Amino acid sequence: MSLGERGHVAARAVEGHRPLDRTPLRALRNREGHWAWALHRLTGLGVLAFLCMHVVDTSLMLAGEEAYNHLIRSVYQQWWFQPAEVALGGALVYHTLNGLRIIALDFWEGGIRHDPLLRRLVAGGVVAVMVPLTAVMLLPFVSL
Amino acid sequence: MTTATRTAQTAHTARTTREFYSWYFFRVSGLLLVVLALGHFLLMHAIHSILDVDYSFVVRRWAQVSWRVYDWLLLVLALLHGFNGLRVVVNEHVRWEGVRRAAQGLVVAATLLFLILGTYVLVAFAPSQS
Repeated sequence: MSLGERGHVAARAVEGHRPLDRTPLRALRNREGHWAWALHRLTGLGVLAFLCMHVVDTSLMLAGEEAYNHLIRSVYQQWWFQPAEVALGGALVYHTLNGLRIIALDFWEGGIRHDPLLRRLVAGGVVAVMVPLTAVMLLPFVSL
Repeated sequence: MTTATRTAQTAHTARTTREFYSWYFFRVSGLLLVVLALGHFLLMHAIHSILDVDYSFVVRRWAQVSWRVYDWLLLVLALLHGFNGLRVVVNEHVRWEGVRRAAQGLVVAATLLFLILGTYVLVAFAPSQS
């Protein structure tokens, strides 16, 4: 099976840079499968942005108890920050499951043939994990 | 074969090899991050709550070397996986050669900056006396 047949992910990774007019951003309009690809990038970049922020806020541990607790209480433990935390969880779970799907497409002979099933498993998995996880995350905030 | 062509060929081969390692690293680090990153998120948001987290919580956690090692592995793998992703995005979507080079330089600089900052915090932290 050639790289081309193995799907867009491996082929693009091996080719490296390609001109803008051939990037999958345009192909996005044409093929439904590229929504999974676009969402993978979007969630990856979102998690990276959070990670950078998280490295900086954790470095406040060196500034002492008062500084660190002040930041945690005035941002991370605020009710208005919780949608962002749930979104971070959703991005992580989607990126994980779709990443496993990409690995299956690359290394499993039958991956391409079963891609419709894999995609349903990703979507179903995100819902199955995020419904209870969202409840568990928000529960401490609704106690009266 | 002219020198220019040979140089271009070598550059192409080097780039192809680098992209292969990049491709492989995404998959290996990704599998490890399934455990490390999801584990960290579930620990902080499902097993504990974000309302439990404060300075003394982190002090108790970092009193065990194994948690510092866990956090450091997560830090390094997540940063390299994430910034390698950003590098690929820059490669594919920044059209002008000069701008692309500059952006790639920024990606490398940011990677080093966060690696050094995060590692320094994990190694240097000692609880303040109070």
